[in-house]
Amino acid sequence: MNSPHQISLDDWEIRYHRLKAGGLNEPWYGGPLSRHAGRGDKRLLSLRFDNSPPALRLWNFLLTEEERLHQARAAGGKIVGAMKDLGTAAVMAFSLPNVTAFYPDGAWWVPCIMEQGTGDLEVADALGIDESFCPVRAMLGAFVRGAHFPRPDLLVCSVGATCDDFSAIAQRLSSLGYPILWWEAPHRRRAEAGEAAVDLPGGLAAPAAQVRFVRRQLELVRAGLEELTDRKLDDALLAEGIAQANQFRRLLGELRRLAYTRVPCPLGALEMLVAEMLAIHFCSDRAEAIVVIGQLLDEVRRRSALGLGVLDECAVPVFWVNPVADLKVMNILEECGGRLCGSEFLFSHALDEIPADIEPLEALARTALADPMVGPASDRAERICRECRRFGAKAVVISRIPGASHCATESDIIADMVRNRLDLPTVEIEVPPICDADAPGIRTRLEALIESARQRT
Amino acid sequence: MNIDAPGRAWPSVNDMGQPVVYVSPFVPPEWIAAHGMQPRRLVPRAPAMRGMREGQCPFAWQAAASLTATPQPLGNPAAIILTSTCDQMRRAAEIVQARTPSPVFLMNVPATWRSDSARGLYADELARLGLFLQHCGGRQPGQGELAALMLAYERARIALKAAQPMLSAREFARLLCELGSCDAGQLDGFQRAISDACGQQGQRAAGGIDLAIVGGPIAQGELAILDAIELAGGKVVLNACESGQRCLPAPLDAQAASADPLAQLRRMYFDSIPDAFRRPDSLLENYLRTHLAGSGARGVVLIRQVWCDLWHAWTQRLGGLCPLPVLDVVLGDSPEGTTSATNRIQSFIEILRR
Repeated sequence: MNSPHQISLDDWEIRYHRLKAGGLNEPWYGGPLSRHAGRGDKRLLSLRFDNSPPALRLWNFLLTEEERLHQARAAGGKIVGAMKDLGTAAVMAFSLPNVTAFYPDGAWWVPCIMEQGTGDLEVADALGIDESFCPVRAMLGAFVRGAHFPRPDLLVCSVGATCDDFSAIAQRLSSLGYPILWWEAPHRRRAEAGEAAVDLPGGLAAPAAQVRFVRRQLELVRAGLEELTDRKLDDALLAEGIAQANQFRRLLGELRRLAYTRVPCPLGALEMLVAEMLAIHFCSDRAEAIVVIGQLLDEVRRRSALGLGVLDECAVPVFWVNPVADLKVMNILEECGGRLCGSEFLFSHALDEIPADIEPLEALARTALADPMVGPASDRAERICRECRRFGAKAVVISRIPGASHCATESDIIADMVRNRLDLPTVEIEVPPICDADAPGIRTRLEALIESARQRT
Repeated sequence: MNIDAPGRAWPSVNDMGQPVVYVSPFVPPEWIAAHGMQPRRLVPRAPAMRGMREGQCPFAWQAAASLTATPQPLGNPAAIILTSTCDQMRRAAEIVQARTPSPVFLMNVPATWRSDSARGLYADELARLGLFLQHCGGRQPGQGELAALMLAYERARIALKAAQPMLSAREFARLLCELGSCDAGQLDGFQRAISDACGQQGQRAAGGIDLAIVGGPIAQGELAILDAIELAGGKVVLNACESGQRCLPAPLDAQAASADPLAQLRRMYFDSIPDAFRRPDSLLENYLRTHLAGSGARGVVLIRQVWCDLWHAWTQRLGGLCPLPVLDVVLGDSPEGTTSATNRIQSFIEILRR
């Protein structure tokens, strides 16, 4: 039972009590995972989890975010709801003492985790935001119902070169009386002949003029944060905030390197997805997120050193494109004989270290412009190809997000580049918030992909 | 004739050399013309659903298909200008760029509009566009040339607006496209085209149920639904679609234009045109609130392309802006074309009549 395994929620119940009896030390948010299912997170009953204490801590950290936000509010802290940019605004907000930031966008997993038992989607429907929009529409229902997170003291949202779903939903939210500080993320373009260019994280580049523009936009965000807290967000605070974010990103980078390359696979796809999600806003507690990811990395290092893993050695390495609305699909990939060997969940700029050797706001502007969403799909495809090579992918899954304005065009661009450059088999699937009805079809497509990849090797 | 519905001819490549093709009303045609080039506003023909994937906007898809077709129905454009005003069109630009030999310019039109930096970005993009046009064979506008052109376009727009009550909604849309496809030498001819169109519209029925239409872009073939409104006894008193008066630029300040024409272009286009992609979208909200109330319309028809999130999100909000019944018409969601939309419009007008 102590060897690495993937276990059900029921198995975790037994294991948890044994670990406790053996002296398991937990933070305040610890406890058996089953309690979350009892409070409505029913999807947990369908998942298979890593059986290690660090994974238990990861899940408990994830599933207690709402409590953490309410605690921060009760302690007199300010809460910032950052929307859409997935990483940058949160780093700025966390740089101020007594400020907690989170992405309401994360509510898109609520219909999955709670198996649509919340009414969030029904509220969105009633507000004219129906299922033709991306599942992030659950965020609208969450705001209106006052559920899943406290109402933020400040809402900031990046628009411009973003998906229309989110822009429309955020505007609908604004029309309902939730003031939003909008800031512009322009479409990232290549520098023209004779135009100064600046290197961005992730191997990208942009015209210096665009970086200057984004920097001015981030000045607006900075001013909003300063007004909220009545405190100056100076470069020293921002630099420290960036250093903390980079500490997390370095740990996550090492975790990804080991988990995606070691044979046998030391950590399953589900936990890796959750670990990567922490990069966006540290699950509302930056210091604790660093501890959580650090412990997970220690466990993966230990397993790697011992040659232990959670999957069969011949599991086929699969690179995954786009986040899944239903976490269950990560399990299905492994049940079909695959293993995650890399991911591009639309926030790769939140995984890359923020430049620390330049002015903080300049560094953050460069990071914001490295967002895969604001650039051409071919830039995104280039990175996917690079990462496929780096992690030794044998196949690629492009997971479409239902209703998302970007998936219809970018999927072909990504798939074509992967096939042409790497000659890897690719498959597209669409994952709704609860995939049970679609699971047979998804499974068939993934099995065909794995089979094809095996034949090639 | 580049048309698949009854009416007069839309601008055709047969009439022009190598045009500079653009789609968005946020691209000033006078800026293209000032570079000695022929602007050509592209309104795609009826959306072809073949090859279109679920989630794709039929209008953006058809625009991209028109621009990448072989042989090129647009006459091998000297340049193509697309904008970042919606995610689908922004992404279509990448596809067009990869599949056509014509140079493609993706113009960043900021969604935000209240900050100096956002307004500055639009002005910078106009300047960048100017350099691009010169690179594509255009010339640098001479001193005073742009201001003079702006005045000529302004006169044409004033004439078009004055004629609007005498024109069917479809004819207005066609003329608006034609104006956006005029170079400096064609503006006099455009004034004659307005007169001709007014002369031929004498048969336009008086009376009818006054309706406002609101929404995004409409392909040429889909403009049949404007005819359907009028055939069913409706009368379009406000066209707040992309093919209507909503997307006309603000009136020119000629004195200011002679001092700083580019700043005027920014004011007329970027500062003034209300649209669903802008954040916040209070320009559009205020426009609709004012114009719906002032139009005397008895009902509103929201016309949107399937998968267009920006206009879809307006479906419910429209009802809150005015006490009028709203009909939600979705284009491009069925192979039957506009048949279903036509039937719904007929029913809507019938209900309003009673």
